Amino acid sequence: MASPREGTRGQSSLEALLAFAALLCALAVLAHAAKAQTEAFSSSVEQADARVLLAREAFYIDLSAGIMPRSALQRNLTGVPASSGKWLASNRSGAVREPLFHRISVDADGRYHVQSE
Amino acid sequence: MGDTMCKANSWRARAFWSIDAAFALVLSVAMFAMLSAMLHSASTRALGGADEASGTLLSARFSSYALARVEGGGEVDLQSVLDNTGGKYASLRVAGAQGEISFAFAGEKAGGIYCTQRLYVRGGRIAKLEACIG
Repeated sequence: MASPREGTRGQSSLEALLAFAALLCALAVLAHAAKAQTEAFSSSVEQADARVLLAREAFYIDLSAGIMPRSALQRNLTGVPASSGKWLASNRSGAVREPLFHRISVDADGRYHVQSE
Repeated sequence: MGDTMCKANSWRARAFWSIDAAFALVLSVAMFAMLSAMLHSASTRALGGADEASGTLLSARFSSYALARVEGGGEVDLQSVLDNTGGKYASLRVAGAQGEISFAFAGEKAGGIYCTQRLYVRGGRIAKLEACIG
């Protein structure tokens, strides 16, 4: 038969186990929250990066369109013109887009052209 | 007997409410809160910087567009500019050596407004064009 002291030790180790399980649960919740935070941060940085890149491309397009309206612009830009030709949308982050002051279109070779107004 | 029970209770209390474990938990939560605040601040800063870069370049493009229209003898339809760009406010101010020559605006000021100032020749004299959009 177990002595009262052994019974108390068994109860204590059970409580320690429960406490450890509770700690693990708390750590799991923290890790999950940290993962969500990191993903949100990564998404924000990616969006910011796409926005800056798109703003530079829109600047380049408007500048080139103003100087050389009849020539084809650079290809392989990350921005995709909207069907109206007045917006440039990022192919990296769908929510990011920039307005354009010139109407543009893309040909089959991926070259951008300024449409006449 | 009473002494043994008292020791057992004390040991159980130590197992359950260990000061080290509690301190580790507090530290974990504090570190997590700091990390979370840091990430939030960094992402807000990155998005703010991107918005500023985008707004500055947009106002520069708007000023070029306005200059091209003005030099071509046309007028700038600010409401049309707002409709096309999705902006809330746009203004054009022309000033000469004697002071303000003209000022036009459309929309209402809200949020960040970015301005670009350009010099150009107007009627043989240098004038300053300030184009704002936001």
